[in-house]
Amino acid sequence: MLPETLPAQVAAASSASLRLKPRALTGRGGSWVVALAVGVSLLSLLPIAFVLGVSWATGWATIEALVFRPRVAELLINTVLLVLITLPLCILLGTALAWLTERTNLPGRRLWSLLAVAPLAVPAFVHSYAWVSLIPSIHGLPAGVLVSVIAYFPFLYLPVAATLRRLDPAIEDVAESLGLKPWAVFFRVVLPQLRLAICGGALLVGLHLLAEYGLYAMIRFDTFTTAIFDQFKSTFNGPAANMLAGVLALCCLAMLTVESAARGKARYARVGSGSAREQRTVLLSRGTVMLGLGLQGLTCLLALGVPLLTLGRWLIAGGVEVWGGGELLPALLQTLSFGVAGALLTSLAAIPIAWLSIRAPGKLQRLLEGCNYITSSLPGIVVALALVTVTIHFARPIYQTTLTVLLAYLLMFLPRALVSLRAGFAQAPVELENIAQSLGRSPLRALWLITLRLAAPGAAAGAALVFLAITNELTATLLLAPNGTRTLATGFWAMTSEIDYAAAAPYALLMVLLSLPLTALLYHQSRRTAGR
Amino acid sequence: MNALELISLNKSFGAQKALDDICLSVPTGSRTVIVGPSGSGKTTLLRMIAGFEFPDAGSLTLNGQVLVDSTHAVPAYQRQIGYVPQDGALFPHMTVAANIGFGLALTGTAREERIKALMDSVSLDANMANRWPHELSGGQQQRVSLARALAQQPRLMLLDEPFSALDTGLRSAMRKMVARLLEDAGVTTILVTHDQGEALSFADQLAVMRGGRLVQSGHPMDLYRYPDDEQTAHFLGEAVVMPARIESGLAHCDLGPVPVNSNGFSGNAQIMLRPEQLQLSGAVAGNHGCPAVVTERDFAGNTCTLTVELRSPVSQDLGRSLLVRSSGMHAPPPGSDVQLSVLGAAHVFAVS
Repeated sequence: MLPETLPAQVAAASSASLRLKPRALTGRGGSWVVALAVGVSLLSLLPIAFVLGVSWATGWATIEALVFRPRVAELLINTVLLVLITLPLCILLGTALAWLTERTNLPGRRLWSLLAVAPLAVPAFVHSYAWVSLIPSIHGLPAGVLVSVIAYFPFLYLPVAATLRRLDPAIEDVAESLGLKPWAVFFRVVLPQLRLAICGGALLVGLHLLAEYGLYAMIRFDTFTTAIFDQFKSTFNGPAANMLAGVLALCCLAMLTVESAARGKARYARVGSGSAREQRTVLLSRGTVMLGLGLQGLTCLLALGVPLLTLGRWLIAGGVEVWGGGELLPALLQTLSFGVAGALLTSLAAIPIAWLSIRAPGKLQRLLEGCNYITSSLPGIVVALALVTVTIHFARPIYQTTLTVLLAYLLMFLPRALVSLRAGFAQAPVELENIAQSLGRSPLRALWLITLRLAAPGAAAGAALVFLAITNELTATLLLAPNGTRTLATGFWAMTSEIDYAAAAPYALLMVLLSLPLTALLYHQSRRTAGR
Repeated sequence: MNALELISLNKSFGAQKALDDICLSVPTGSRTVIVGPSGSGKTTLLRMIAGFEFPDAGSLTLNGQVLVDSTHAVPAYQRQIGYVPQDGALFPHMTVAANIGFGLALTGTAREERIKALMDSVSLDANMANRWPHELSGGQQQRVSLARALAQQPRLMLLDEPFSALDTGLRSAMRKMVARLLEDAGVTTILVTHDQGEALSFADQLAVMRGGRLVQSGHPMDLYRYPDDEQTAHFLGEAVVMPARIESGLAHCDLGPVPVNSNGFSGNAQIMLRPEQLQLSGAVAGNHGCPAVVTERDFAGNTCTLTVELRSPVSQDLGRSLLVRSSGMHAPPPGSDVQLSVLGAAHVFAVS
């Protein structure tokens, strides 16, 4: 029946957006989803429009002078090398750890899987701070790759582990019955099914590499983003920063194209009958167990041991007095309220686009997703700069208000919510939504009762990721927050800028502690499979 | 009184025509089976009745209410039409009870009692209420799916190959249970299948689809005995088709003269006999049958299908090869000489 139903869904979805009134109301989804998705995407085009507008105003001669120079080539090489070396390492590490914790009898795998998620609780620039104070001479590309892998591999671990848990075990049984050895089953059957998770995770890591400022600034490794920040600090809102941002936007576009090609057109809703059974476990030999434990232990030591030891050292050195001053508590409350509001807003905004991308993939939807990815891959400072300019000119009442800060978070972190939500929606076959409708639930209720419930682990993971990102967000907050508001991240940055590492430690500790319950929740949610 | 009327339904996916001018009336309380090979468009038709697809042209009415026409479409959730798909499609995040109660507006004890009654009606043990879908066997999942669809007291029940994932023994038991259950509940039912045996056994009305077109519909026995064309004849069961010359109610063919229901037609045409219409007897001299030799024997327990080759009474050469059904107990071994005689009348295909 497959050839009958697949084109049917696509056709129904496209007719929903194009046809007459009654069809638009009754056809799967309806045009309001499309309208919402388009609305969110148009909003997200704002920073791009800003970059283009500024480029137009600057003129070609100036652009040529600013872009085609050795400094830009140097930055480009730095950034490309960083991505090319870090990404494969992250994919390897994330997939290997996920496989060890999800599919083998490795001793203590529940604990290891928790520890593999835990580094997310440590902000990237805190990782950097830890390494710099441990080895003051650390700098350049090797340091950049090391800290990046440590800080970002959980973004691959999480989706890969979640997918491994949900694959239909019958498919692996069938592969083995067709004469494939266990390793061949992994490479020919399991790995291809992980493609969506790996692509999504890799894109997320890649975008971080392009956009991160604090991590690389602290270990003195120049990327486009650090260069744009420096440029901005020296010549507020000058064309040089904007032109560098233009080149960076092109890099992001290239990355998006590669990911989209790698993701392909496959759809991964499970087509088997009924509900899935338990996953099976690979029994490791003694040698492999030692190897696995070694890998887990080393990762844990580098990603958790180093930051925690360094933090502990500074906290002891700083004593009680670094906790005084009355600035810490307001910063904590400010961070909490930004985080919760931003995560809710971003997750809600992601629902229409994620839903479209699974239920009605097509040109429009890819265009919309593309808009969001490009925007979020722009460094926070460009988004912030765009919002500063636009609010000053067109929306003066919201200039330097919380609303503008939240808007920046939405633009920057939408893909985090999107990637997880999309994977969640892919787990909920459209047939279940149909059934709910045939049982008398309106399309919106069916979406809420069935698809969103099944996608809930994905949505929660997405919201938690956004919350984490906001508690750790530095650059946009520095620029956009209303006068006098200080978050934990901006407080931490102020202290480290004054090389007062001891005074910065309480801020870092609070950021870690704040992220911990959410990391735990994220871990717990991702472990739950539907109905268990 | 007809419950459901399909009038000139058309649907294309790109260049491919999925449904081509489908017209069908489904009487109230009946069990209609839509049968056809995969890709014939039967699932598209079912999904259209459910409201998951919409036709390019044509209309659809249920108990006089227009569900779809050129200006107007009732969405699936307002149709009150039950739908049971092939794999059951239970909500994996809900228990058995929650799945069954999904379409119920009741709350509290009334709800629990209704769920219990529904579980009872599909022969599910009450202690299964708190199980999860992944803990159920295929047959149990199918029962839950059926109970879930029955809960909302549907005006029409749609079954999309609901038994095809079950093993043979279970399949016929389930089929009987479902048929009885729906009949007791008085629910008009449409079942889609590619299995002709299932179709003939379940239906009071059978509709055969091929290549997006509804080629013939009617009582299953009529369709089986008097198919409109050769393809339908073969699709609904084994058939012996051969050329004949029709003259005054007799078909002259390789089997000799055979009575036909030709309605006064005379001339050359194709005729059809079902294997069970051919009767075997031992070769006795002077018998009026047609002589033949058994060439193959396919033993299947209670029945036995024999392949025989006709022997021309004149030349003794072997001729046309035919299938004959025989009781498993008295099937002659290959090589036996037999006599063939015909029970009842042969069916004449209209000359196209």
